[in-house]
Amino acid sequence: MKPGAGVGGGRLDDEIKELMEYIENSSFVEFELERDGFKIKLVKGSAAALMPAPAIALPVAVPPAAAAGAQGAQAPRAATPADAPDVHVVKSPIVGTFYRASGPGAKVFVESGDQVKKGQVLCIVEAMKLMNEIESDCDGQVLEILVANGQPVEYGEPLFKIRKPLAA
Amino acid sequence: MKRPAPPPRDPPAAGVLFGPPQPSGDEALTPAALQRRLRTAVFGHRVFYYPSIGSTNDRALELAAAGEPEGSLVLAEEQTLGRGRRDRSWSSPPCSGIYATLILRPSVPAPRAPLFTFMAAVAVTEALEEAAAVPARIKWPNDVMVGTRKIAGILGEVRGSDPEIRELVVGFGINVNHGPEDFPADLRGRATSVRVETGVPAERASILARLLEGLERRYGRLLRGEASDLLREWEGLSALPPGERVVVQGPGGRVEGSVVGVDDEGALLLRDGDGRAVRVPFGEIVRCFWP
Repeated sequence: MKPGAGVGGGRLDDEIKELMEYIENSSFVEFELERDGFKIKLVKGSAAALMPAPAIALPVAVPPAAAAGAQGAQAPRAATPADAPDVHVVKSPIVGTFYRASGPGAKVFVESGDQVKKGQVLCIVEAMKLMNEIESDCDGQVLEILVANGQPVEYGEPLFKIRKPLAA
Repeated sequence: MKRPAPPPRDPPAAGVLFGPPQPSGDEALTPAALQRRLRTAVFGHRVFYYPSIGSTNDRALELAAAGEPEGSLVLAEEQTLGRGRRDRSWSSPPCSGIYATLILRPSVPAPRAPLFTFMAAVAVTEALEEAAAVPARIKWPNDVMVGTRKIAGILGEVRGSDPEIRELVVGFGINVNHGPEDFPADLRGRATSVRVETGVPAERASILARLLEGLERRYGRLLRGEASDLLREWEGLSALPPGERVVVQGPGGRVEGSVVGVDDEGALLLRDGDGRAVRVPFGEIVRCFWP
């Protein structure tokens, strides 16, 4: 991205694409930019989270920035067929919105490549103000995160691929 | 000579008491005050009480993971990290509100979990009416409102990835004795309390006792899969009666339409401008055209 190029206005999508390309080709793993009430966070090798304006802490209902925010970010990748038998797929037990962190400013629960333990929280699926903290049901390594932050998911939709350790 | 450590305090017969009770204020919401008024079989008999805690939901999730049985309640006089959905904070000053989380273990399929937050909203609305004479209504899915101002919020949390719910905690933040000045400036037009509405302080323990009774009464029916009574009751308390126009942010984007009702999974049913039926499985009302 050229120095001084603003993020905002009509060229937003182009500029985000440009940013993503730049980050993709750089050594950054994570990139965050905040300017004029606009905030973007790009995380390499996984879904990007994009959110308008820093979330203000409010007990009252406000427009669901987080739910709308990730549209235009990376689309969920389709599950590849013919997975190896040591690959376990964690599916959504409910219909709801998929979140990779507990809140807009919080650290993501897991990244692609992370080692996880059985029982470790991988994500949240929210419906009707019910937050479902989805746990890994096995030990292993996160191979792929199949859904982008803020996207709706269906019942039984694959969320994560976990490679289980090979039996000794 | 070193004095022996004091023996652990015996818990009161009907509850577990942690830390010194007694905040100063017009009324202390303690386990003892609650249990004097409580007429439930199970809910609220075991109480984990904290004068100040980060978040009652976080503590309840820890307790549930450690095997705490259904019906146990985490109660706090003050929350320092009280939160709503997506880490939005919930203003939780001491001696004003009810900050409590109930542990449940409903062995029902996970997709039915949201119905428990509908149950919670109905029970809060009923408790406010019966114990404090506040005519609250519910904004889909489960915000408890007086007019256009929020008086109580509900946050349910489930942990696990099982097809059946293993443990569910339902947190309540109810504004009771807040004065207008007790709300952060940015909330003053959008939040209210029992005291703001009625002009007099209310007894928090009575409201909480009523709430637990109302929850317990409806919980059994939900476990048996009888959701329709609850949802009709919910519709009767809805802030947005049939025909009301709303804009909803759902999974497929924004939808504008007039309210028809809710279906058996709690999804909002609308009729759009062209007369087509629209089902919003989950989401948030972003605009109402209040009377």
